[in-house]
Amino acid sequence: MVNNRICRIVPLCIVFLALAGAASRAQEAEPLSERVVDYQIAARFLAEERMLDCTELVSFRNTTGSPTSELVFHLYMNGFANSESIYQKNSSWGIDFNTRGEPVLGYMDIEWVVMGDGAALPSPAVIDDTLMRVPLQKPLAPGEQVEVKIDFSVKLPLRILGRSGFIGEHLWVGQWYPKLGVLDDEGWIAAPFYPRSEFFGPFGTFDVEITLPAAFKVEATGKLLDASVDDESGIQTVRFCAEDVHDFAWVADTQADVPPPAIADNVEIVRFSQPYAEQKVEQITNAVRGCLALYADWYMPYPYERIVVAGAPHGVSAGMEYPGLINISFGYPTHIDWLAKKVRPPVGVTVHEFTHQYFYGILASNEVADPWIDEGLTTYTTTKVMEELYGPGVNITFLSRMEKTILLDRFNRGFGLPFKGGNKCMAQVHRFANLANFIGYDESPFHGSGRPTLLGYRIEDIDAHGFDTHFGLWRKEEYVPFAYTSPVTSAAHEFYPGAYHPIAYSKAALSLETLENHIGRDAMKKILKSFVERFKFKHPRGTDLLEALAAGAGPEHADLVTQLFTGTGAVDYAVTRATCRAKTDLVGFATQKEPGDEIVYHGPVVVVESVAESDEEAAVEAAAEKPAKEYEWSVIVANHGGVTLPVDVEFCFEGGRTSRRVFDGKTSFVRFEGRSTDRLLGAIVDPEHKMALDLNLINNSRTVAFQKQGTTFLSGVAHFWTQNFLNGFAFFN
Amino acid sequence: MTVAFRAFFTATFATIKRWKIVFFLFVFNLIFGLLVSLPLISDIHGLGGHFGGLDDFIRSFDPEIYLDFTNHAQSAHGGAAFGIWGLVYFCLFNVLTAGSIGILVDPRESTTLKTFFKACGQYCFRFCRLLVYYAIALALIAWINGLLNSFICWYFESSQKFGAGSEMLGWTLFGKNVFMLIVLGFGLLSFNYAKTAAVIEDGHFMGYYFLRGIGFTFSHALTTGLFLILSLVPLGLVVLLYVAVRKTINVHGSYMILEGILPWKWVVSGAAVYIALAQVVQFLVQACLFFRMAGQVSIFKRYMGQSAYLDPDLHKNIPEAYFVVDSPGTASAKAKKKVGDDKREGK
Repeated sequence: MVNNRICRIVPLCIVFLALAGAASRAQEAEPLSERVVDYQIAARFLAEERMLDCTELVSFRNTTGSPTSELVFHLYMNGFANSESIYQKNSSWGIDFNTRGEPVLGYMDIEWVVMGDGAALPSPAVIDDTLMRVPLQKPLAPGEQVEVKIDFSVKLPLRILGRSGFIGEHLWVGQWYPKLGVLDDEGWIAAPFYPRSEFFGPFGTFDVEITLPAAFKVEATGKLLDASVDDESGIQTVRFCAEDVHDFAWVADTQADVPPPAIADNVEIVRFSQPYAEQKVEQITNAVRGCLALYADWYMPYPYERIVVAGAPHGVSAGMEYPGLINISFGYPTHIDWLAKKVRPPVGVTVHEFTHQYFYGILASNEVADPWIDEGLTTYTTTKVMEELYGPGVNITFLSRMEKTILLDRFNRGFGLPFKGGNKCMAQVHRFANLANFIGYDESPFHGSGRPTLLGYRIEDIDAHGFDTHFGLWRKEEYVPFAYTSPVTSAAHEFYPGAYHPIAYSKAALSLETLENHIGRDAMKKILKSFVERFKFKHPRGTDLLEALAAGAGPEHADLVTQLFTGTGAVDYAVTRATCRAKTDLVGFATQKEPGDEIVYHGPVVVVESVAESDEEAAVEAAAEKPAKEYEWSVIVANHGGVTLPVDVEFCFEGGRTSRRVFDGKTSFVRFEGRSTDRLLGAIVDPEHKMALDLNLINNSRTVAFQKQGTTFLSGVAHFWTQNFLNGFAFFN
Repeated sequence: MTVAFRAFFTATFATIKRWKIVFFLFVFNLIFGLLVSLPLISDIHGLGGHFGGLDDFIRSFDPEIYLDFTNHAQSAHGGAAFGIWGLVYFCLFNVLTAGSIGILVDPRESTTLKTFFKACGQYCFRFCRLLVYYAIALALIAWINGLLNSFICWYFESSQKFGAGSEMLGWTLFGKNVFMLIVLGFGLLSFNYAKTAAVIEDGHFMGYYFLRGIGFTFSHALTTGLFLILSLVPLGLVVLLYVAVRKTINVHGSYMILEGILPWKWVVSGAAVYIALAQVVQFLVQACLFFRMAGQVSIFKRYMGQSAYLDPDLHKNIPEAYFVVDSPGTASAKAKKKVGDDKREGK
């Protein structure tokens, strides 16, 4: 009897103590966010059916100043339900099919929605594509709380689709539960799921219990509270808890390699690697370590206890961020160990996704309405981190670099004949003749960075000596074709087709870089640090960032901020003409107002400026020695882009003297004229290359004289490699 | 194996002896290359001629400048044109190989361009017909390769071992590629030996000769394969030579040529030295290509000469191609001279 009592009491005491401990810890830790929402989810994974059978109890608190009569949930999984979903209809790639020809579909089936106390809803919930509106029995007044219980099941796509799915024995589960939109004073902010858009949700807490076969290793947002295995059924149950986050995702894999976590700055770095990528674990850990240290200085210390870096199988998902959990993918072949170790990827994507822990995770902006906030700031910061961690690019000799670059395109494209376009016949020739296709990497997951490569690697990735300029360069590469399409501040679904990535990521980052070049790195750091401080665990809007940038940059740069971020113009300044000739005596007829006046002819120019003569004393000295020869010169600077910002123009003279003027950029061109005792060699517009967005650096400068030696050399290089190209054909004869 | 090594030395001497042909091939490649690269050279002059940062760019390569060049140079978008020029060159070079083989099998061991061009002319259409069979063979190889790729990747995906199966997939594709490279090599050898046989026997039915080429390659797989590998050695050496010398060139510097040897000062720029090196390399590459052909002809002659197939009497029946036939002008001059001589002799 006593024993029985003890048997009953002891576990109860343990549970009580544990709950009391948890409660006291919760009291101790001050919430970082407003915690508007609290999710309690129980999910059971049925591997055979690729289904999740779930129950969700969600508690929502109205923190706005107005009542609401409904709750709005996102049902993101329905974006993959059929060809008529908004997601599929707006996607350029259409429904994906697997190798067996089955459509890769997924959906969320809402089985039951009731109030938290079990009471029925006043009217049925309305589901429209990926949104569900749940009517409340009475309007939820400001400060009040309501609970809703939802039974739902999820069919996971047969591969990772839109960042969720089940492939092989890898399970990646994101945006998998009915997720509340954000309520503000103007109402609910909840947009349908578009192919190019990401997510937006309120801060809160998550308590998630997952049941799945014991063979799976599991990691998730937050921290592991409890794990148990039923040996008989071979089923395990794991429970994760996360606080002050706005989303919850989890990952499971039977083959994952999970070494003990690394610790850096009191943060656990959990590595959940694919077995093929074990060579990369150290590289990835060091990248996260570097980020933790840098961001503590630049922005704020990482606020959570853990960060999980989960590797998805070969190229099935490039990279994705969730609070406390990032997904990276590594598409390179790894069977040749030394080559795999030599390449830097996936360090870049790791840094990028980790940076999203700040610009998305902590500063939870609306990724649908303002994708440029998180993607732009993250891309910009990633470049800065890469520069800090890996140093500036080393000076590589021209010939070796040039040849690598000339070959690079061919290698990266697999030495295929460059037949492209809609012509089927040419497409077939291209397919047959492309070596990347020939060696099988076109079909296999070894696509490197998303496109087939001859060796499965991009040359610049193999040949990464320190930080190479390529990281920033490919931003420009993808931005240039879309330079005039959409403003940076566009909503995700409003971008010109294909321009989402080039503008929201690349143009935004290059615009921030341009601003930094004008105001200085320290000023930029200060702006971003105060922005993070002000909006941490809140929902900043695009206008907030614009205001912060404009205020931090000062009134003299306000126009710069406006034009770079809200305009569709591009930056393209050019020196279109530079001439210099020895001044000759007047020949022909002319009219003078007064005898002895200088005769000046005004051509059809907008502005004529005269640049200062060379140093007067030097001129006097030179004149004393011999009569100084005088030169007349003229330089035309044009503004080909739509952005009208002032820019420096530097004039270079023989003997090393330089002189500067400012072109306000408001006219399509300006002509600078002058006389000097030294010969003009050329002119450069934007000599410090402050305009990182400039579409063409080659036309930024112009020499008076034609550069015979340089062009002959480059022509020789071009000719030599054309001959080699032809020899390639001759070899097969 | 001995035959392959012996062919290596025979081919070396044959190449040196016929340097004029190699020089012609080099000039042909030089001029054709110049024509193809003209739009690119025009862009370099147009965009870079007045570019202020050109010297810095050549001193230290800036990928951003290269990107801007490719974005704004018209020729950079003419990839298809390059591909088509490549195919044209392939066909023309095929005709030139007729001349190379012709001069190599010439029993009089001619080294003149006349013999070379005669063989080119005589076998031009036959070699073009042979190209059709070669193209069919290449397409077949590509198709088989595609099937293997699809099967391997399908198996990989079906096995559902996406993480753990990576190494297996990598090595399987590697093995398949080695296999397909060998198959491709045999395709190339079959084509080359078909051409050799067609010239030696002065045959017309190219389908038959293509099969002959395949048969010969397979029946002497070790020798022909070994020589193909051996023929890559000089090509590799040329590449190494280029890389080694290129590293020592300072494009912005100037060089005194044959200092102390020449009675005058001959100073050339680093750019000119580089261009000279590039063309020396091209000459050597053409020599390597001719060398391979010479070795293959040597192997074919050696085996066929020993077999009953190539009758020793065949050498007596020298194909018409190798007789130097006078041009109409020369023939009429000779005829007139003969008539004059006859008259003088009172015939």
